[in-house]
Amino acid sequence: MTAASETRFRGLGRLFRLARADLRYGQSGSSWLFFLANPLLQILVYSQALPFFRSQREDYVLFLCAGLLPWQSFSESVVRASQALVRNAGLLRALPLRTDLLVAQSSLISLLGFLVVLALLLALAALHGAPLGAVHLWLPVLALLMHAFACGLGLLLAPLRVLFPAIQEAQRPLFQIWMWATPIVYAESLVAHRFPWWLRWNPPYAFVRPLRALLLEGAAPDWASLQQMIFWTASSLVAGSLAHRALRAEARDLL
Amino acid sequence: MSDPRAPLVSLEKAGKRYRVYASPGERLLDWLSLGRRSGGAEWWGVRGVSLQIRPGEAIGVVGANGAGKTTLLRLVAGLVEPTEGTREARGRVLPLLALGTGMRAELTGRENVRLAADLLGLPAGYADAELGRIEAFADLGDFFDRPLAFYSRGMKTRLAFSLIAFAEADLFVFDEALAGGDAGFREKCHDWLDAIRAAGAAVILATHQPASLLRFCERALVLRRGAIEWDGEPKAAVAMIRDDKAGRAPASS
Repeated sequence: MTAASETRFRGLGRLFRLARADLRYGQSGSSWLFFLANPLLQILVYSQALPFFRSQREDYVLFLCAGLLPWQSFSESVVRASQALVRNAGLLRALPLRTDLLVAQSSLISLLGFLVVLALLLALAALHGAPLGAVHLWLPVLALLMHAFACGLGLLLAPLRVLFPAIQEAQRPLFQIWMWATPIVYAESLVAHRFPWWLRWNPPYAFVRPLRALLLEGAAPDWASLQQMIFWTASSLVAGSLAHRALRAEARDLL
Repeated sequence: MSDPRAPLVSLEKAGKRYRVYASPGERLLDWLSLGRRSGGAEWWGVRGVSLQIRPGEAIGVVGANGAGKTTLLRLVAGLVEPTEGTREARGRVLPLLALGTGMRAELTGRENVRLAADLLGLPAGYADAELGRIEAFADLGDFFDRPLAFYSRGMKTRLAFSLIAFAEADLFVFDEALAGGDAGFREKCHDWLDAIRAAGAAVILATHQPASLLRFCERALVLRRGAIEWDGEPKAAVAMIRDDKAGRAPASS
């Protein structure tokens, strides 16, 4: 063996040892379970369900985008906010920063990204012949409410993510299941008659439904929808803030 | 009117407890039992610490690794709340527990000064107003406008220390901050510390270097197993650390 190949081999060996340590100590058993569940779930759903849903509507692409993109923004906002403390661990160790403000800052960034997405969706809706007007000024209001709701969840999850690292892996499949249990890629009519309570008590749908109606039909949210959104947002922010206050010291100790 | 010699920070029988679990699952079981089961172990970083830091004082904190130096500094700086006892503070406390906090590898030294000044909570406009003096103090030459990723450890220390060199605070809290940099830069930092003390600011620094302790501090704290074992003259503290293996007590208090 030449000196060069020996060096390469030793480098490879070190890489394997590093990977082994990462696998052994970096992931808990439950992390692995969730890590595998996510792609399996996606394969199952995309191969079996999607072709059926597509056949149900003529404007399916717009319908799908108007539901899926808000949902993705919501789920990414929650995931991002829940990682706010871990991501800023170095700063939190050295500076007296407020942890709740780090979560809020993360949600704000997600909101700004979503406003850009909404502009694109509006353009897509116009291309599909949807009427544009002053009613669309509701879009940033609904976006703000949805991300404030996500911020409340983030406030709860951010310290939990520090205390229970498996939450990071659990979030992806849970959000997948949640999305497929919500009329995002399929019409509400498919589940409305069998599970009306689920549609009423599924918080993210309270935001996605009026957003979609606004984009597809130019329909302003009715008072009942607004009440529902405000209720979920206020509940999430209050519960999230209380939980955050109770858990932040313990989480900070662990960073 | 407030007394100018009143303590900047007072700790009264303060303690910081950490709860240590073997795994997150054990923590979850504890939570689910609503306190009936106690699987985690308690560990006190510091306990029963009473300390007052007055304007203009320079206090050195010494002790073996794990003695509680960093936890004590974190308590003093208000980064953690005491689990028991109290902490009272007045004036502006600037914690520098990790030099380079908030700096990013992809940004230049100049950009990092602006970013880190914001994160450290230095007054708006501080970085811009002092940029020339900071650049001169760091003495990094062309590297000041190169990304931090190309800096050596010593250069990073220079940049980070220079950032706060012109900041105003009533109490500076350092953790081994002077360990990096070459001898010339360390001497510059020593002169700076003398200057801020002369201006009335207080300093508390944790160090493993007896020379630093003797050079600046008029008061030393020796920590052992989370408690202040000695609070007095630095010379005696250095002797105590040196005699530690033999178990001898300090000559005077």
